[in-house]
Amino acid sequence: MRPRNFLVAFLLGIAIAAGIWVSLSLRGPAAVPNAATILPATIELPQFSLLDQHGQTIGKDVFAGEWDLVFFGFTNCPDLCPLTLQLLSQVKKRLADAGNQPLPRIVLVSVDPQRDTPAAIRSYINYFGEDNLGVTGELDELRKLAAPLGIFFEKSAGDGDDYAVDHSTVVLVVDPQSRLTALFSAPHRIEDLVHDLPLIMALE
Amino acid sequence: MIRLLLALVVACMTFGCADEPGPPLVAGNVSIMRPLPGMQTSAGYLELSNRSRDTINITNVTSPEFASVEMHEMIIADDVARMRPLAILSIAPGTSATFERGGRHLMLLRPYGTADHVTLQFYAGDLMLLSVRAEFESAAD
Repeated sequence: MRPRNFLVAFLLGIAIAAGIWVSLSLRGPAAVPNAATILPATIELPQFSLLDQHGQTIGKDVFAGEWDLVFFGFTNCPDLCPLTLQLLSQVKKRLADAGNQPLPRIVLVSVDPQRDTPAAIRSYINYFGEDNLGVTGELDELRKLAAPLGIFFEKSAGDGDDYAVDHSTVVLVVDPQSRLTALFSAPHRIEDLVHDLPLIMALE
Repeated sequence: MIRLLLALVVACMTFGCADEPGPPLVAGNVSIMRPLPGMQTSAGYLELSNRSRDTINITNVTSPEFASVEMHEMIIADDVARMRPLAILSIAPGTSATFERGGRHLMLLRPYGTADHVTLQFYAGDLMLLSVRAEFESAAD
């Protein structure tokens, strides 16, 4: 090879290597969730018959067409439930402020149907924003929805109407095909959900 | 003699000659949530410091603005939250106990009205050790 051709080939090689390096640098590391557990295979929501906050009968199709953040709790829960719903409300606002669309809906499924009437749950969830969905109904139907999703709840000891309910703390992410896609374990952090939800919603 | 008296006065001013202990129990970082509309429960958070030389055992908490106040322990394990009443809260001398979000907290039950403030009274048996008054905070704050 003549010296001039060698030089051209050498410079060309350097240019190609530099181009590859710049391209990889700009792409950055692969986006991975901070806190969410993304299920390797989605779980189809079961069939159920419950009531929404307006007293209307709803089934599995109430989850169709929307991304949902689903939390199982109860309105007499003084600490964890309002904190979680407040956090989800703030997450939704942060996502909206950042221009994310669509925004997930916040869903509270009652684990205390004895006290959580549709009217009680309507008043409660409206406090945490518009377009939220409240779900209550017969205990057996609530179990039909909760059990396949790995959600635990059980009334604990107490007198009369003064009792607590032990319950799962996870926030479930349900996709517009009514499938459980991911979940967030407690403790929940706003930054984690704001970071992870757009990644999860892009997986559809 | 005068010199001796002067020395005593100076010593008292410097080191304190009267034993004037402060309150044995002191509250800080008080945050009491206003009950949500139509709801019968709320939560309270604060830090209680034992400034005495003895262990303080808080046995009950009352409030004129609520029918009942309970101390609760919250345990989250395996993604399940379990809330249990706490019968006695023991605070060792010189230490503090914290009621915090997602953990040990006060549960305020059945508000009597729509006051802007709440008063909490902490008892060891029949003896009231501390009364704390605070404005309600909104859950949206």
